Amino acid sequence: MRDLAEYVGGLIDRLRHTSPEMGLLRVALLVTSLLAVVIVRSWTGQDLAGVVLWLAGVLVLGTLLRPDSPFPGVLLAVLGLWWVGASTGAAGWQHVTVVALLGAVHVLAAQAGSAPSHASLTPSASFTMLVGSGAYVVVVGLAALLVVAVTTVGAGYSSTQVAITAGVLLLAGVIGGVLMASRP
Amino acid sequence: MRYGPTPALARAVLLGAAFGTLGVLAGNPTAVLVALPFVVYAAWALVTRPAADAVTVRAVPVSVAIKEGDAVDVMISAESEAGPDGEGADDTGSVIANWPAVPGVRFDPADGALAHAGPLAEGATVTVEPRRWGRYLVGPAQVAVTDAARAWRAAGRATPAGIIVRPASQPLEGAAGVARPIGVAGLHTSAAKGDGSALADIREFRLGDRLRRVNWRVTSRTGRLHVNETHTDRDTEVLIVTDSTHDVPGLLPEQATSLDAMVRAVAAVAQHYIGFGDRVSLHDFGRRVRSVKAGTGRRQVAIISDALSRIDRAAAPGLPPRPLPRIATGTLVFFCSPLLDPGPLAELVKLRRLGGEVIAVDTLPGSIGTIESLAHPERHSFLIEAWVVRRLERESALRRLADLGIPVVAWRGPASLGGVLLAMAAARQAPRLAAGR
Repeated sequence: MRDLAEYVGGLIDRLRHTSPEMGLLRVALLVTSLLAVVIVRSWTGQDLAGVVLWLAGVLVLGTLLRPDSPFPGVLLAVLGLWWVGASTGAAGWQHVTVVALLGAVHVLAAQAGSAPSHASLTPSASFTMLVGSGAYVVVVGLAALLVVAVTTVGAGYSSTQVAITAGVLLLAGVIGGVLMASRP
Repeated sequence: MRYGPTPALARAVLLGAAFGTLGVLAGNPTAVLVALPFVVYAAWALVTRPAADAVTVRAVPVSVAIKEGDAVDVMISAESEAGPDGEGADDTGSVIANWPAVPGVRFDPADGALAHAGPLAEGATVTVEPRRWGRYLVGPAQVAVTDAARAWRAAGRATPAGIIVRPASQPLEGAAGVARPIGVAGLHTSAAKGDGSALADIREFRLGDRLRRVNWRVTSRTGRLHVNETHTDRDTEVLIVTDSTHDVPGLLPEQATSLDAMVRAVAAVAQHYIGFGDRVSLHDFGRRVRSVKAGTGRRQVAIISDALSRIDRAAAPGLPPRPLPRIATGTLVFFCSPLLDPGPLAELVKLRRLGGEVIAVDTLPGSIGTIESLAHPERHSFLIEAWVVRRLERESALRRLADLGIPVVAWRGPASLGGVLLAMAAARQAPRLAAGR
């Protein structure tokens, strides 16, 4: 009981000393994770008697508190398996959205786990984090769009749609270049 | 520090491989899609992988001395180690430094943790501001150097930074208080007549008087040759004895302790008498301060200040007291002590009997042991009552010192000693009974 009280006290202390930058990052991670859980739950419409939803909720909490632990990996695995197993008949844009959200959760957890919660970020560090994470999510979204387009070409996509897909591919290449150039 | 994959990269590789394999083996394009963000992250990690295998970090400056109230910037800089082919490594990335909290030291940013992205040599700089004088060891800081993707990280500890904070001192307010100057040069006027600057008398010219001493005004008025007679200029030897065996805290944590009061008193007295040209020495009864031999000039002020700033507050008392040095008759002795133990009290009496002009400077914090302190709202024990009793017990010892002709002055700032110094200077001018009368 005393250990639990000490642990909770430590968490409250960490919360009190969280820097504004890292606090904002954690809020973004919480919102993105919850959004991913809610979207997967509502678009699949399937759950194992609510167990998966609760499990995902616990994992979101764990990810928020310990982003450098296995919690984000388990959360992403659960969400991924949930989507793979129950997304039959989902539209292409729904696939792209879910994949982009998984990418966002992954990269935000990586950024949040790289520094202690009380660390302040210099403007250059904030800029690098923002540009890097943003560009990564955009690239993931565009790449997912490309995969969705390619896999559905044989199912009657017109030449215009194929051209659009090629354009998206080109744009993804450009963003990839920007991403590389943004390295500090 | 060697670079290694972060949990984020391990997660990306594991999930990417798992979902990718599932997608290929089961022919499920959704699983391939889910593997996509992890594959992209792994590719990003490959692009941003540092060219060097390891990185060296260090804190700059390693050691620095500052004045009380000043702050110092401490930078954690990193440098990539050249690869086996000898080529220069990619020296960009993020440096994340996390300094451990040090009592009495304020950091900017407040919690001592900072992340900076850019050239590794720029590092992460925190401002360190010690609140009080003393010796501080800040760090070692926990340092992590990462790439932009946070996929590779080298973590370790930097060297700690040693900061010495010299105590701020204000000059003592008051006279010199030297009753019997014992040196041959300085700013104190002695009772003896001879070469000097202070006018003692005007008398008729005698054989052997110097012509430059002739007072031409009096000579022309009286018609007989008169000369000025002066007191000789003398200096004296000042011994400052400190008793650092105890560091008695004030009623509140932010109030000055007895060690604080002792340091302020020593710095002020030393500055005051060195300004008069006197030779000042320092001796610590409690062995926390190194002894300083008698000396004069600005260099001596710096030496004493340096000795004071190197006091280790955390040092446990209990060492046997350092024996007092020999003193010449007439040496001015300032004994700075909280006057709690019989040992320092006995030394005070001994110094007086050896012929020293002894002044006891009471460094016990004024906030503790008083009747007013009993009204303090935050009371978790009977410590306040215990200090009241202790102070009452001490009063009888202080009265005995006063009976022996040792003035006891409580240190409350640079003006504390003004009264007693003026009294000593006045006593020097007072008429004395000749021996045998």
